[in-house]
Amino acid sequence: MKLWQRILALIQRPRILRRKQNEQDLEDELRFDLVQEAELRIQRGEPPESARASAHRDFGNLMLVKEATRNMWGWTSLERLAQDTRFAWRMLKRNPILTLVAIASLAIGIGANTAIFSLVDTILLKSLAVRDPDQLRLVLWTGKPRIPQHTGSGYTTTLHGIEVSSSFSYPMYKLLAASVPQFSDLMGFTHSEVTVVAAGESHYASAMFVTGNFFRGLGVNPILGRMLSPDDDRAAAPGVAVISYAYWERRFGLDPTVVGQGVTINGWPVSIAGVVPPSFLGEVPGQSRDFFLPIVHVSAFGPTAYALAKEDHWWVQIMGRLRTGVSDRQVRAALDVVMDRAGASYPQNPAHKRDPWRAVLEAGAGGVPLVREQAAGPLFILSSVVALVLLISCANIANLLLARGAARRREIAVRLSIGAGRGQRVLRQLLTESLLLAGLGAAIGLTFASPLARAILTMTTRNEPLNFDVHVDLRTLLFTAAITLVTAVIFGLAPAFRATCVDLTPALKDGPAGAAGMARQLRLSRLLVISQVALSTLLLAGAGLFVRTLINLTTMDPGFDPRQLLIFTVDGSRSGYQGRKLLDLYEQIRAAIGAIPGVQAVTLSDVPLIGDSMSNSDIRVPGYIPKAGEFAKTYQMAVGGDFLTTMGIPILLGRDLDDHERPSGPYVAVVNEKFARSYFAGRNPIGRIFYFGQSPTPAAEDTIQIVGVCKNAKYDNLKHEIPPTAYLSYLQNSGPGGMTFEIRTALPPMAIASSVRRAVAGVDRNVPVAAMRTQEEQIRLSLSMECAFAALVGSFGSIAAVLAAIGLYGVMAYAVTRRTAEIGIRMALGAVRGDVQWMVLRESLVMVVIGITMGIPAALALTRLVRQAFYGIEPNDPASFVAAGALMLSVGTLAAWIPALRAARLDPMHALRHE
Amino acid sequence: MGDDQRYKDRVELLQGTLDMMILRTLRWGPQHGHGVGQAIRASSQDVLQIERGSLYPALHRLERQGWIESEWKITENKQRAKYYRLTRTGRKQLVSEESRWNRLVKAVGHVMRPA
Repeated sequence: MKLWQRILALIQRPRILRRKQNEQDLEDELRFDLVQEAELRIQRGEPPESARASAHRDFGNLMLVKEATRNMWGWTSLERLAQDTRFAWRMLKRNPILTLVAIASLAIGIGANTAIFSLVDTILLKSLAVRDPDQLRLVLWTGKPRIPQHTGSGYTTTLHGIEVSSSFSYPMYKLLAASVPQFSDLMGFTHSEVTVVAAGESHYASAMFVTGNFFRGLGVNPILGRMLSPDDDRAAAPGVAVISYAYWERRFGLDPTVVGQGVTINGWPVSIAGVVPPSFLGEVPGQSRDFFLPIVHVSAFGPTAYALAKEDHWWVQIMGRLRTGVSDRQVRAALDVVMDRAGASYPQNPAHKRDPWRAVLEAGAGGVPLVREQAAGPLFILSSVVALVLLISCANIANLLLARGAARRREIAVRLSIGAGRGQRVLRQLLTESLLLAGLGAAIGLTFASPLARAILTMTTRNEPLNFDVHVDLRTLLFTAAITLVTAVIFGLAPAFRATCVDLTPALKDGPAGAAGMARQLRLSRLLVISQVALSTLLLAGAGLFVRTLINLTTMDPGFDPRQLLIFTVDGSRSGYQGRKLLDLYEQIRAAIGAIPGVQAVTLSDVPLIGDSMSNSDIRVPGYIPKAGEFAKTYQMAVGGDFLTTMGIPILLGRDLDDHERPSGPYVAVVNEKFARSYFAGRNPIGRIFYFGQSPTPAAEDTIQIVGVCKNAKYDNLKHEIPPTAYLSYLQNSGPGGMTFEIRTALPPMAIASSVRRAVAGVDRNVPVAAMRTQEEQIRLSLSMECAFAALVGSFGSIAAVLAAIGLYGVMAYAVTRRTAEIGIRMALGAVRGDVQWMVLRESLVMVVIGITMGIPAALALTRLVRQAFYGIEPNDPASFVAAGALMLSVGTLAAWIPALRAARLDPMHALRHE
Repeated sequence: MGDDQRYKDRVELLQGTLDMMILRTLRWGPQHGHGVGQAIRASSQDVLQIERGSLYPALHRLERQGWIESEWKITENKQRAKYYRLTRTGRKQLVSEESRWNRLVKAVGHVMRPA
């Protein structure tokens, strides 16, 4: 029959009817054969009775003949699959509790793995939504002298063992763009926060400053209006901007007349030229930009550090598109010629070593890997954790199936003995059941994979929300299908093979003679339980380490008093204030807030405490001789008057900075104990001088006199060691930018939030307030990753422990059932209930203890790999391991208690009659 | 006859040979499965006894390949029987199988009794 005929036949007659008809025909055909044969034999003179019998005997196995013939029917494999599936469904329905447990644990395992995979895929593997992303290269550089980096998304990192930097000066970018024709476009960019005034309302936004060829080079086309062009990137060109789709939606409600509208960015008028498609968010996947502006205007309304003309300000990041047929090596060679020359002539202290500057190329398909690098570690931990959970569910289900396989020994033995084709059919049947289980688990798992992935993303990045569109796409579905298949094979295969290797005779008798097979099967079950316990212990130990880390961090004394503090950020420098006027603005805001009832003190600092931002500098301290290769360094913070007192950082010697520090100097600082100990070795530092930078003739503003010493306090991050820190007066800062205000109040801090907003607006309504929260919330946010990990690994660890307990319970309950007779005999011979109970319990505890002793070394080995995720504890923290072991032991005991009790309650007479 | 004896006397058929013999048998007209088996047995002088487990799968396979087709008929004894009949492509197939077979026999003959 041709395919189309078959399809036609299928349409004409419902499959199930046709199948029944075929079966009937086959039956008739073979019956007819038997009748003919018998008649033939009668004709040859056999008596009718024996003729029929011998015909039957010589015919062979009717079932086998049918099976072999059916095999020729084509499409029967499909039909058989349907049949197997129906049968599997019936079997699963027969054991609803087992099935529910299996499906639930698979759903958790597969769902969690799918969720983490979709995160890995979105964050680590996706390419930018641009034309031919594989042609893109990020240009980085290495060599000496190294130059401090000034840029938003610029970074210094170690790549293949060498230290590389991402940023160039604008003149250097221009030089490279002009001398390396192997790139069809070499694009420069940076990003910065800006203040936008649109429709009379002001807010902060994230802006990207790009060279005119940026969108052309990437191949990103406008969804509305036009993109920026090289014409816009001329100093004389009028100010234009391109906005992101999200910003268009948020601020303009997707109004198509947005093109041509004017907004004010950092006080400069700019007109909107077009809208970027929603697929392109910016250069760093995970971060989204609202504005794209020509880089040529960066000096006008970008941060002061981004100076177009200055050779020593390195802030431009570079990405190029390779021309087709050009190799990385060729491009590098061309870049190196320029870099080498520039590096050789760059001014440097002659005492320091020079290394030729070299270009380093990195794949640009994934954009600037800033978020990616931070996410890789946590994602690695989460992937391992969910993989372990899935492994545990596999072991669990293998065990449940094994136990049930044993219960089905008779059924399977019967099917094998009546000739179910060489065991393959039975094997296939059992694997179909596994696949059905795994498939149902996967289907349920998929329903919560996306929300789980999004929840994990939000939980871990509450500090700095990332913009990733996480959803289950085709790639994720393929991944899920693959793990489902692998899972089904892992947990289904062992029990299936065990089941089909039945020794038929004893299995059919189902008596004590089957005990040898029983013992074998129990051994396998025990092995599975032990490995489950081991893996769960591993997860619990990991969870313990994360929980202890979180406890250490939340209970530590940060060195200041974070209670009763409200903080918020403003940046007047982006609203047209500069220099003296900016300082006046901040002091006016301070005064306005200070007048609010309930406010005890107001101060400000250039960065918030525990805000993950910091600045540090080389210093020179007369009388202090650094060790070879070491530079004296200090962290610095520009603060307002009474900062230390307001924050609750005790002054040990001298005085706090006050409101009367003069902009013209003398320049003063309060240093912390660590600073004093490091650079003054116990001598009184009050009145002493240190210098910023290495210059032998330092400028007046780099010459700092120490007026006080304060206690050590945490600076940018609770996890970091407290560094030598100098608190400088922001009033003496020549170019201040945004500031964080700290308000100490007797009221609940958020209760004064709206009064504070009104106070700021009362000074200038074009200066927006951002990041208003309590200092305690600020600390909580900084710990969001640690919180999330303690919660996630803790939950997965608990799930694992519960699964292991179910596995243990299943095995022991089964063992007790199988040993009912033995227990009866023991009791008849005088064993008391306590003995029986202890016997069962002891068996379980042996498994649990073996599992724990295997899990702990594994945990020791694995947690070492992720030691940087922990704080205040060693990865071999005894408390966590003891707690994990104890928890596992008690869960295990609980699980074994029920079968032990049941064994002890057996009525000996009843038990003896059990067989 | 013991099992061992029967095993020794059994002639193993070459792959595809059974198909060819079935096609050949059906050249003389439609026949049901039992009849095909008997015909092969008779013309091989009782040497070849085709097992049902080989015969029926072969018939169903040939039908699927389109070389034979089947029809249900009522026999003289008023029984429903399935008759197989050679199709046109089946006839062609038989010709090519026969010539292949002849070549094989000749070749094997040369090997066993070199001239």
